[in-house]
Amino acid sequence: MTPPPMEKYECLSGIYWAPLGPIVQELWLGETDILLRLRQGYAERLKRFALKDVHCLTFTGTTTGSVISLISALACLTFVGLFLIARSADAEDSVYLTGVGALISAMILTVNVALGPTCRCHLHTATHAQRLTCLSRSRRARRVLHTLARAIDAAQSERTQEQTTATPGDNQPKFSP
Amino acid sequence: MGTTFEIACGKCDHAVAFASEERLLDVVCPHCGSANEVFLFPALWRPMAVERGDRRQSEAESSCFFHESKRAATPCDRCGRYLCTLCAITSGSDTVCAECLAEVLADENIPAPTREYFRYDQLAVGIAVLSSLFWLIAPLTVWVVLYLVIRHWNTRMSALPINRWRFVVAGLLAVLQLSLAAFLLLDNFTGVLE
Repeated sequence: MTPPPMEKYECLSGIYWAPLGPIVQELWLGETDILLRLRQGYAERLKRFALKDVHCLTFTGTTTGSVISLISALACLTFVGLFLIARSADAEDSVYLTGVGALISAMILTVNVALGPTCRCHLHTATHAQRLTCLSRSRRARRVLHTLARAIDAAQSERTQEQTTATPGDNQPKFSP
Repeated sequence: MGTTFEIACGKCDHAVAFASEERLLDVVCPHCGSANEVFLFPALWRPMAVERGDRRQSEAESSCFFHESKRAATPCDRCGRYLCTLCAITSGSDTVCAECLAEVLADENIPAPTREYFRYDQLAVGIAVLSSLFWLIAPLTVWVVLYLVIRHWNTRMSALPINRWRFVVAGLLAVLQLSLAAFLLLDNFTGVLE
């Protein structure tokens, strides 16, 4: 019983390092399957989806990123306002506190804007719909879905050709590959 | 319009039905109004293949060990029995029969195919970092970290390629903490620092 070779997988979603972290999901692409690695604490579970079994991939834009930006911008403005008031009143402790608050909220805003808009992606097979939580930002998600779509198309067009050779006149997809 | 398909809306999880023969399309959820971009693949249109095993056409053909009337498609890689397409089970790069698979799963000496692993390297580095922050627990945790590093250096911790840098970092931190503790203890008795 030899396991499939390990070197053939390519990480698509970036590697997360979470020594004390919550559930982390990673997406790996193999020659014949997509591997979803789920880490919860220090345990690691795997889900495999054969490329030839994938029916569709879905991409849905969400407003989560905009909401985070809005809240952090409001927080930043509030802290800056309080900072100015504290400075004019010569309250030294409040100046530091509001300054740090403004800095943190500005950092959150900057990072969120840099990461771009948010989204939700799903992978559908005949029996299962798997949410790809590791693809939560549109830019990366589109890039990864494009790579996945190419791999899935290649795997399924090979299979279609095999079927054509084996049983001529069998049901064929009605679109150009 | 062709066959009707159904997906769950990516935002509200309500079922959204659509009929299309296009590969890439926008499906608007009637419930929440969000636009779902859908990439369709040939497998969606393909009829579901159900393996039943081909019937033997003549006496000269080899038959499946478990189904005498079915044509043999492949031998089992462990016991060599002929199997039909229904009985052949793919496990890793091998094709085996159900009995051999059960034997493998029962035998503790043979590693069973697993879907779950434990990341001892992450645990070790987590403890090492924690004990670096909280010095009081270091005399206890150093030994735990060293145990994890030595005991699980060769343990397989993932189905994917990983290197052992976390073990190296954890081991170095543990040795550093141990050396520092020994030095401070020595200084307490001999006064080296003075």
